[in-house]
Amino acid sequence: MTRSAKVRALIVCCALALCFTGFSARLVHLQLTMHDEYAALAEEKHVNKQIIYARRGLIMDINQQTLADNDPVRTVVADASLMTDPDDAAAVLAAPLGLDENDLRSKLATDRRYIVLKKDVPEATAAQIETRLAVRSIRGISFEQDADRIYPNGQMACHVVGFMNADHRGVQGIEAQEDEYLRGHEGFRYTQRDRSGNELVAYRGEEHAPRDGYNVRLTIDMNLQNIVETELDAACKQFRPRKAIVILMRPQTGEILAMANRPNFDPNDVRTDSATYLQEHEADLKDCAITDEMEPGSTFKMVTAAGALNEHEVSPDSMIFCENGAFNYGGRFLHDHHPYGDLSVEDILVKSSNIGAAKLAMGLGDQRFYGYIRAFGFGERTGISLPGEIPGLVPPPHRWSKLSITRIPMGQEVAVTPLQTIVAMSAIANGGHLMMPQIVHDITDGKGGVISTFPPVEIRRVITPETARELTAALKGVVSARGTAVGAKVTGFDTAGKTGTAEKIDPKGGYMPGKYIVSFCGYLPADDPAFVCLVMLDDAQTGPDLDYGGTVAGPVFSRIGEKVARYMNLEPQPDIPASNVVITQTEHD
Amino acid sequence: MNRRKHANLVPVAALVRWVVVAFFLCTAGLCYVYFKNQMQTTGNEIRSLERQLDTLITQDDTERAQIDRLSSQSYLERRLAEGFIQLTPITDARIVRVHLAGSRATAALDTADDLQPVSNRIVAQ
Repeated sequence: MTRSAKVRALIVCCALALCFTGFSARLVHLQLTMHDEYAALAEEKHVNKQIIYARRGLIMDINQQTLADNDPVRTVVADASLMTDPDDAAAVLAAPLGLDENDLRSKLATDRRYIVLKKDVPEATAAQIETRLAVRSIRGISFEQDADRIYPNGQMACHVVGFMNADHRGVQGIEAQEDEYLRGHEGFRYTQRDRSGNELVAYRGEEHAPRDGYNVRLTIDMNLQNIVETELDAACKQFRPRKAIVILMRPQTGEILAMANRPNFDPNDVRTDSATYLQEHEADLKDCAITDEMEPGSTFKMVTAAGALNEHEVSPDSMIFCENGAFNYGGRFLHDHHPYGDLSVEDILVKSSNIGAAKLAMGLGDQRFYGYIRAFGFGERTGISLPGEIPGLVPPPHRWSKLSITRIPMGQEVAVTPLQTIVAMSAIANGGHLMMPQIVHDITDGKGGVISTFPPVEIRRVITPETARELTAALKGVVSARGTAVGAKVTGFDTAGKTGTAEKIDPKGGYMPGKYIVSFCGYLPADDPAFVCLVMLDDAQTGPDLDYGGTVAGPVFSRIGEKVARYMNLEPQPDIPASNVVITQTEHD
Repeated sequence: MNRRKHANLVPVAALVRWVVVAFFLCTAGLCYVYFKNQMQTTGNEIRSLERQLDTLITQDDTERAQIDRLSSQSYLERRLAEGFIQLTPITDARIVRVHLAGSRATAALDTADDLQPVSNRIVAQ
């Protein structure tokens, strides 16, 4: 080989070496220096984070009847980058989705990879569209699983169950209170797709399974709820009140067996995204049983009598002079509905004497009386598992006027919720034990495993069993022929209870003439109560001089009590005559 | 002459060695491709089964929602009002009550028989 040939060979070798060195350098640059950047770009192009939705838990009654369930629906999503003919896709999708074809076409004629076309599409419609897309080989349309919340019982127990907003968050009732349990946790999965958009299962990345929401079982019994709702509807038809509330409770455990309000709503139709709708239906959506405070009226006399008897200031037979119907105290007259002379403590409750109650409270003293009011749970939240409960209003003695000691004992100058009233009555029915009202029985997972149970909670002992017995005896008299609520009697059962007729407070001050909140709160069988029931009607439309707790709420209680006793299979007491009670005297309150 | 004869001999050992290496490399390559295809096929099967499972779960949910609707108190009440469900009220004479041991009525009646006439009758007397 000549020298020039050697030089040429060397030059070629060097050139090749330089060339490959350049390639190598570029390779190193791409593979090492730029790795993260290009890997991220590739990931963005091919890797998706796929959300695996958790199913929301069910809400059930005590007998496992479903009150809130999920109806599967689909969300139609488009990936415009995969679409070859947006016009064709728009033509196929527009009619079944009920969308304008031109709008759809403009949406699809982009490069966006995630376009939500329509939510809440029924399964049948989605299947129909899928078939059409397959026939015409249109790519880029997917159907994401979603669920619509349904309430099979419609308006029944609507305030207890509540409803959800468009973001699938509970807004009211149990849906809101137990949202954390009901919602569950979404899962996710990283997936890779090929050019056609098909998933490459072999290249799946990190994956977390979803945790479905837990099921919430309530203490509500829908059979009892049905009884209550039916009777409440009948009462509303008869008396056309502005509001009406019925609560049924088991005194020994504090379980709420039924709870119904009027006006009400159908949770299937609530439109939480419409401010106008929410404004128009504000009154319907409100759970008055826990969010409305009102003067309780004479039902509050049970607290007064309980305090006086428990402190042994008086006995049931102690005689109190009731000033013949007009008691001048603090420069103002306090009147009874009928003039009474001497009345026993028991008769003060039976006849619902305002003056008698005032004198009992005066004997007790403001501090002790206030202590009993608070001990019965007034002025604080009961602790029920429902959102928005208010504590009511019970002013402390240093804020009382001179007249307060005569007005509070008969249920004026204090504001209580209907739930507080029934909880207090339950304490008497339960031998003096004040129980926390409970609406949630247990929380379970989908396989039946128990996540949480809610045993009965005793808040405190308010009065002795002896006092509770004495009060029960007096409250039985209220439902007797000489009491204020003979219409509340439940045939075949010893019934105890107390009426209440409270004048409605005028927002401008004072009371609204001729407008009352009437109530009856009672329990049966009186000596071994199976349930306590509160019936309350706000501004019932009755004939003149008939708007009283005993004449309006009492009969509603009686009808509910009779049906509930039958459902609970309570044995009628043989010594209670079944014949109609002869009304010898009509007392009112 | 002998040296030339030796120089023309085929290096069998080396050839066999290379053939074996090439065979293993080919086999490994084929296995790689085969397993890769298997993964793809299994992946597609998994995806198909997942879809089937999702469809079944969705169907189950849809049916359950429908059952809940049709067995709800409100729906049954409506059907009852329409006359679709015919119920005959039970007369008192046809009701018997099972007295639980230790109940007051049982103690009062003091009988060994578990089935007793309905208490309503006692009340009605």
